[in-house]
Amino acid sequence: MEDFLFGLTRGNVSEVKIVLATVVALLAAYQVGLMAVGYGRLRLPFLKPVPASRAHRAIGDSIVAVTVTVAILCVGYFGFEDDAAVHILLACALLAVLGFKVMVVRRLPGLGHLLPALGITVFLLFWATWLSAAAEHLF
Amino acid sequence: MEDDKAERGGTGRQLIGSLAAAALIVALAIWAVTAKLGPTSIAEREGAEERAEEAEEAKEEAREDAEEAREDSGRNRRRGGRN
Repeated sequence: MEDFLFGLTRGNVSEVKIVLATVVALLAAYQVGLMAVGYGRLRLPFLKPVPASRAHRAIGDSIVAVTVTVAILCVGYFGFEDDAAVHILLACALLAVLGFKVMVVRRLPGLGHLLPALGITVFLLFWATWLSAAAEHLF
Repeated sequence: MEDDKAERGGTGRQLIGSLAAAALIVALAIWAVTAKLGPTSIAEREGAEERAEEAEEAKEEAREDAEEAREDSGRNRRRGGRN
């Protein structure tokens, strides 16, 4: 697995991970803005709630795919290192909350009232996870 | 009916615009991060740092050995002088 990921990224596993993690962290912030429009908290003359919600769903699907890719790169190449305990904990929490949010959207509409809180939690966990690993290479 | 069509068109345009903004964010993030990371990979940079540290340690060790050897030879000379 390690060799496969090393070859796939041409020896730049960390760099690919940092780029993808930064992309999803920024998109997570954009998603919060879209849902603020979707729920009518933010009124913009050029964007109505319905297209904002649809864009949120489409971008969210992409974010999940990229997040799973980053998780595979992380676990497959770096494994569970002791000195990354905080990062691992945050990432596991992120995947759990993100998975639960997707379940609520697709299978548990009765828990729909939890979505704003879940969304904010996912957003915070994305940034905390990014800060715990990728940020040190950029600042 | 005309109004419905116009609204659907507006919604479609807004959806495409939102997705285009997301694509722009992705492109800017990739550009900014790759520019910040530079052409040398992190693994290469860490390897070079490690090699430099090892070289520094080896140099330090050699200096200590040389000092020790100098002290030993001085002590032997003094002992030899007394005899």
